[in-house]
Amino acid sequence: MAAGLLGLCTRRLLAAAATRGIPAARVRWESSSSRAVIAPSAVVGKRGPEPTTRWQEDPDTEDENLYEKNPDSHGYDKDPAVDLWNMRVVFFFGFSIVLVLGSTFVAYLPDYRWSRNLLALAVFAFFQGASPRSLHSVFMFYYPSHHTENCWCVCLSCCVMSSQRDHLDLNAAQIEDRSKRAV
Amino acid sequence: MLKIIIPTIMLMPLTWLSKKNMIWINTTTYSLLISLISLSLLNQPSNNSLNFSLMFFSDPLSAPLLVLTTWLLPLMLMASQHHLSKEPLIRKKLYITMLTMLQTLLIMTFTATELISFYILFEATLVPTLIIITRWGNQTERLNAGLYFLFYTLMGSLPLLVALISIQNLTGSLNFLLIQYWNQALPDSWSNIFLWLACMMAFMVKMPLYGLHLWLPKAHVEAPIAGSMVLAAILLKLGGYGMLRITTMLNPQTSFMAYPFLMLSLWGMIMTSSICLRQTDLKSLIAYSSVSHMALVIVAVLIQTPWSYMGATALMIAHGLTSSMLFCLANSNYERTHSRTMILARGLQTLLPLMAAWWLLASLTNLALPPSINLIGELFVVMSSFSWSNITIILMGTNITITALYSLYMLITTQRGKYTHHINSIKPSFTRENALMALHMTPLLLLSLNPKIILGFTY
Repeated sequence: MAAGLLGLCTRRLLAAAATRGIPAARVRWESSSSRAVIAPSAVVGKRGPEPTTRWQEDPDTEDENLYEKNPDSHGYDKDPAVDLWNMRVVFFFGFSIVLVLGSTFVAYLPDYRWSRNLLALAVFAFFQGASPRSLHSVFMFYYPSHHTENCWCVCLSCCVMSSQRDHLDLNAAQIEDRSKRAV
Repeated sequence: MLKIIIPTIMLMPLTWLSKKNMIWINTTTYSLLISLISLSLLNQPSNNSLNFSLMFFSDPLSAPLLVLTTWLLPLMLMASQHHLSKEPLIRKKLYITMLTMLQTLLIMTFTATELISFYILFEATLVPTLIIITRWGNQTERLNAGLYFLFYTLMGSLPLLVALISIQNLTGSLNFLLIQYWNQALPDSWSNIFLWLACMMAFMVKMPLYGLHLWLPKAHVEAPIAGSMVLAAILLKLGGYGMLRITTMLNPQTSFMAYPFLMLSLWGMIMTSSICLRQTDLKSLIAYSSVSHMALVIVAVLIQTPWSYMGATALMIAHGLTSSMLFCLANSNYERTHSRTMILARGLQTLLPLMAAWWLLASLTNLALPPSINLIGELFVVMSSFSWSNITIILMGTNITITALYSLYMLITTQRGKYTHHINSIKPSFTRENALMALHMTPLLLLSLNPKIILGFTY
């Protein structure tokens, strides 16, 4: 067992020496008590360099310095004209068109959630017995400067509902239920 | 929706028919215009969804993801121009074709009305991504990475196919527009438990859930820059999007089936954040950071409250832009030093001060500095998880701290200190690179001013 362990340690030492590129002593040892044999590995010297000796993941590159031939290079292309136009296109379409116009579009998107909530409030108040005129003035309080399509919707719906309300005979629970279903 | 899909498909003939010196200009221009058109989807007047046809629709959840997808294509094209400059023309065109094909499939995936159609497109996105990783990756490990990527996702999603066919058989329809009105609770049985698992595992692998995340560091690291960008920014969000859609029909099983996955995500976010602190490879650090952020999204989706859904959608958009920007920054280092090892490209602030500013902004948004949308997303998730269980605040708080630690570690290692002797002759930053970073950061900062468009359908 000791010979086997010794053989194991020696094999490990030889293997470690081989991987580090240190030439191993070419000796062969045979145990007299067991069948253990220690010999240098057949692949000594055939192993490639360790990864740590090669620090770049991509070592075989031919770097071309775009600034050498074109000091005003923008990094797009070797051809200065194509490079310039590519830069212009990116800045014009990327910044001036998409970012500026796009963010303006997004900023001016109507707040549908707010208008839906306001309409829900108006409908609820209507079913509580508010007159169309008072509902309209409440809405104009929020939008005093101009009429929007939502304002007209509220006005129109209030007018239609007010003409129908007289025909309805609802108690308080039914009014609340209808207003909740309306929102 | 055809106003976005057809121009995107037509980018392929545009690429092949353009002259040699015009391919990048043409494709970048038209992809920017397509992203402008996609902004119109953010106009959501109805409380429900914009129904374009029987096949495509968009709602406040899919519209921001769609805009992110279309915005990312021109950025990917800009980022790829340098490393493809030495390739033959045919290979450049093939590369752009792969990106365009992937873009088309992603647009259709996010807007599909029917779940089987969603599944087919979800699987179809694997093909161009695999080709991009295995053909244009730099090291030999890319083949192994491609295998991991493909087979992890396939193994996770094959049960989903069986589950969807089974549900289609039972209910007659898998249309998203109908499912939301289908209030039938799943009976409590073993088969429905397995149905839940089958439906969710595909998306858990895609997110990825900690434990099923082994494909992500490999794929992200070995992919070329465009592959890394699209993987981190969009493909992970496919998983989140799928989970948000499919959980509507898996109640009430989700309330108890979610526990092990919640625990895995809560623990996994700390584990992956801690792994980030020990990474030497820059891309690997950003990849593990993605796992950590997506674990937050998984927690949010499984908790199933309005605030958690808002946090999940905001975090998906924010992380998409941030991690894509971090990969671009890592690529700018890689193009100069040809190494992903962080300490080999240190002290760059002295040499490239403007790039250091982008590094700072990207790191600050990665650690969710207020008032960025990253913070809004994380805050919503943390608050809703605290409401679900008070103890989660400990794990969430630890994760936020470790996220800040590794983000600052990455920033300080790459930017601060004395630069090494072998990088004092690196090239200055190109306009292309600065424009790329600005095009990532500007939407991120603008969204901080108006975050409601990315808060999803529970806002």
